[in-house]
Amino acid sequence: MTENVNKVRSWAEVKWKTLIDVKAHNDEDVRLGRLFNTLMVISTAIVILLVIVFLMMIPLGLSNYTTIYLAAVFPLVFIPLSIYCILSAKHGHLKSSINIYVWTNFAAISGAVWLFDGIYSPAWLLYIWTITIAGTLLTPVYSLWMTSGVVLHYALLLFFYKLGLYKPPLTFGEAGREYATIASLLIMFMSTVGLLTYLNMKSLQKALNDLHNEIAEHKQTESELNESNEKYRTVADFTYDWEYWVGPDGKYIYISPSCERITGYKPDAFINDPELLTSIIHTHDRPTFVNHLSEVMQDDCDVRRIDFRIITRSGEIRWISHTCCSVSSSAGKWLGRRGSNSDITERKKIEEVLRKSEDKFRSIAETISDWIWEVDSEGKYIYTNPRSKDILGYEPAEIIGKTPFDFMPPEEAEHHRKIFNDAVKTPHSLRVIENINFHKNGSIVILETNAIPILDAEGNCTGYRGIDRDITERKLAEQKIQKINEELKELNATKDTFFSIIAHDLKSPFQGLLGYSQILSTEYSTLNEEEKLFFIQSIYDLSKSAFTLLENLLIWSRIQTGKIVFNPDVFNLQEEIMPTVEMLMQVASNKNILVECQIHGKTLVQADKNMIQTVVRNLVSNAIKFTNPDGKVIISLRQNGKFIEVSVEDTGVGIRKENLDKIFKSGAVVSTKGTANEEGTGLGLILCAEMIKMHGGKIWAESKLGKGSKFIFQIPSIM
Amino acid sequence: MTKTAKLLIVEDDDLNQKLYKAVLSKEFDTTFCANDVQFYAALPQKKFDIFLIDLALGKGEDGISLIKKLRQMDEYKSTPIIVVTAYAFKRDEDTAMAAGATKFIRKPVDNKVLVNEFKKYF
Repeated sequence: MTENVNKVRSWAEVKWKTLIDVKAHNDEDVRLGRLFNTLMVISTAIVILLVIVFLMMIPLGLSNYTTIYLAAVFPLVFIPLSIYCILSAKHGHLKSSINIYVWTNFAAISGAVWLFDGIYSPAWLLYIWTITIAGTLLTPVYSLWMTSGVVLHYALLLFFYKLGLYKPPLTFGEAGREYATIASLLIMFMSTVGLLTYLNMKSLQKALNDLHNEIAEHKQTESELNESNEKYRTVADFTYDWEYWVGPDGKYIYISPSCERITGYKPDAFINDPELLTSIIHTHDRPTFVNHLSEVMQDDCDVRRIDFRIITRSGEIRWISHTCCSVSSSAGKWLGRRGSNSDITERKKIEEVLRKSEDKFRSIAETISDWIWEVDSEGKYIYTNPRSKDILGYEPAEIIGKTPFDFMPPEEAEHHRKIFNDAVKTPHSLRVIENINFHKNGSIVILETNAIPILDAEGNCTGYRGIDRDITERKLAEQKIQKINEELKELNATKDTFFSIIAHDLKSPFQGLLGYSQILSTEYSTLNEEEKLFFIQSIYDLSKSAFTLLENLLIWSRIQTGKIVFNPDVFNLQEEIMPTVEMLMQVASNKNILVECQIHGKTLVQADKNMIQTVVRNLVSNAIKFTNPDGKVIISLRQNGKFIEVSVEDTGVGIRKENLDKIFKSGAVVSTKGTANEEGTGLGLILCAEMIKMHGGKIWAESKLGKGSKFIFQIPSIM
Repeated sequence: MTKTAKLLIVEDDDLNQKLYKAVLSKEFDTTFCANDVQFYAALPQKKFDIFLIDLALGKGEDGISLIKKLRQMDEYKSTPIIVVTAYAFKRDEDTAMAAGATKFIRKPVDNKVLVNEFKKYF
């Protein structure tokens, strides 16, 4: 049941809405249109009521039929007017509709007043409706104008009536008039007062609603504001850093309590003394800060940041990092500056320690004689100290981005790149890795590399850091020492053999010397003259050969110990060779050997005279010694490029091929008796070789067994 | 003691040979050779009772080699071999003794000492 009522109600509401809604451009017009259309409906209701009221007069017998029928028909005119106005308003012609209605209404009522009972007409009451509508829908001024019009109309009718110029054409009669007046009054009262009350109540209700909403909104805002304030206050008061806000006048608006933790002074101290902050700043930093203050307070400059030291209340020095920025309201008004001071003393201390440490290591890295570097995981240099210039000839800028392998010969590079790649995969220290590199100037540089991996937080190798040391000289020295060592070993072995031979050869003659002299001294009387002579002759020969050996040995040892100094002189070779050869001619002629000296003319050499003489003497006497009687020895000379070659050729016994080299070396002293059993010391050729070496020349022998030998020495000629 | 003891002397130095001749010929039946060729030529001529060998022999085989050869021959397996040499080092003595020498004497040696050394064996 209730459901049906609700259905009907909602249906009615929809219909009603459809009826009164108008087309309009703004909310105000929509509202006005609705009101107007509502009034048009009420107006129609009033018309119908009036018709009923008038028609009721017939059964009541209150007036004549003519008047009643005319009065009942007259209001009906407004029904089509109302319908027209509703439709017109619905099509958007609201203002014109209102005007048409109001003024038509006004005119119609004026007509009714004139037609029915004049100044006593019950129609006067109907003006109330018209004026109300005009005042409500148009502007209140319309009410004033209309009221004035009604009063003027009444005055005119009264005036003409009193002059007898006007008499109402129709009248309800006294009883009908009273009835119609009361009824009209009731209708007007109900409609107009009801309408006004309704409208007023509606406005009032709206106002109350608005007020209520406003209060609620205000309360909400207030609570939000409080909450927000509390939030900000909490944030500000419990902030760890020392926060403040200075107004445009330079006075503190806010300073966070944390200032006490940092400075030892309470916020009040700063608020009461705006100069306090400046006064506790370290004297070294104060000018900077004062300058900063004057800069930021001049205009609303953006964010500024400076570091300075303060002296706390307890006299401690603390580093402050100060940041401030301009503050302005949302409307753009400048509100001063917000500042934030954080205590960075610890950070500064760490920074200082770090800086010192970095300085220390940097200065070590930059001054150390070794090459310090860092490479990424691909082996590319990302740091190098200036030593790269000294070691490889490249400036650090030329090294960066290259790899160590770029400086190595291809095979070396391949080898070391493999070592490096393996080391990156399984990071480990690289120790004493020797590698060969090319200097910028093309020379070889041997480096000794030591490096450690650089690991990231996950333990992956991101590169290597290390030191390269130039060990080229050391390596060369090592090689040299090794070579010298080997030479020494060889020399030592040679000398061992040499000494054992010398010892043998030196001792050998003494067997004869002692033996013969013993026989001579113990058995002298039993010996015959021949024996005596033989023994004495033997002693002489032995002594001579022992002396020659000793003498050669002494010369050799003096050469070895550097006591015989190469003492060059410029001389004509022929002049020095000839006398030496001539001295040996006698020995040669004893064996019937022909010595031919084919040296002629002037050949200047720069050489040691004594040495050249010794060499020539040795070679020629050897040639004579190993040549059979009727043989030949030829001494000749020739220029061979930058050298002078002297050769001594014989037709002697010759030398076995395998002995050709040995005869000049101390490792194998072999003394061979000559063709006439001549004694030798085995040292002669060794001495020759030593002496020619001192001249920067060389000596060698060529021989054919049984045919003869040729000894040649070469010394630099004078160009 | 009899002069019939046959001594073979291997000495390349002519003057030394002559010295040995002066010293030892009165006591022993001496044969001289200066090198390996003469040595091998002398060996078949007699059965020697004792040897005097110098180590340094110039060209050809040296004394050590000759000692070894002698020790390989049945007839001279235990015949006294006296080495008289100017080689003074201990290692020379060791080499000679290892090769089979009976005695190692360094030059120069006193004539009487030399004679007595040989007389000991007869």
